[in-house]
Amino acid sequence: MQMNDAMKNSIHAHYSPSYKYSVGYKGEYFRKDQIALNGIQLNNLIKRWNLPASQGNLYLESNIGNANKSGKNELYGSVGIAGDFETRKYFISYENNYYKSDGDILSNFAQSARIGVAPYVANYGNLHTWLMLQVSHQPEFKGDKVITTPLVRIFKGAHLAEFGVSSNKRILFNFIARF
Amino acid sequence: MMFKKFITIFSLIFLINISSAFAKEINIDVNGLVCEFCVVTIEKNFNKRNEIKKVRVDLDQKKVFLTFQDGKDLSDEIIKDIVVNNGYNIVKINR
Repeated sequence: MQMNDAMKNSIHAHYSPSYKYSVGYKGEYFRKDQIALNGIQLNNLIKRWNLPASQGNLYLESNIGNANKSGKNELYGSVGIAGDFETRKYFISYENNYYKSDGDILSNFAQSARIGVAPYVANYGNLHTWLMLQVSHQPEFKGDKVITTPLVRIFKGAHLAEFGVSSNKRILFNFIARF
Repeated sequence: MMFKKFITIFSLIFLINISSAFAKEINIDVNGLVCEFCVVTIEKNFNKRNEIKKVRVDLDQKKVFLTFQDGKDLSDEIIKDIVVNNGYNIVKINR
């Protein structure tokens, strides 16, 4: 998985032994703050709600690794909660993260939410399209504190891509492939 | 000679079609089937089983269709394990 949005570039490579958790590498680079994070990420599914026409998920995300800024390295950790609820027509999600390093590089909170609607409802095997609005709030990072990003999500089978342009004129491009 | 070839090819196609027509198919009502990107794991894991000939997911009907190899089957317990271990809930297995 690789992601580029209004605030950072990131890359994830995860292995899921079970649907309940995944473990892997996560690299993030906060462009304005010039902070690079390289860490091991563990995602846990705390709760899943499977309903006849919808699904909801609640996740706990945690990272530990190295934070680098201007050649200085510190141990860092982050923890966050993520949740989503979707039908085949509507989507809503929220996630937050608190980052802390053992020095002065990081002590930051960030959160974001999305709402989405599918302009048509596609069946299995067809191209799925979603129109989404993402609102990000990062009060302790440099740059705009609130950033909105309208985006298009498309997926088919095991491949997903997202394209958007944020309110601070940055391109959002995310790509996820499942193996 | 041509006639013999025709009969052979015709017989093969006929046998394949007959075999498909009588292949056992069951369907499973599953809760939470809303996102293809997430559901691909169910298809992938059923396809790992030698007993399975074809897996088809229908999000409109909220069902997973399984077609078995000739003379093969999977028990309800194994089907439940595969679906539940991929994070979904079975409502009913329709045999």
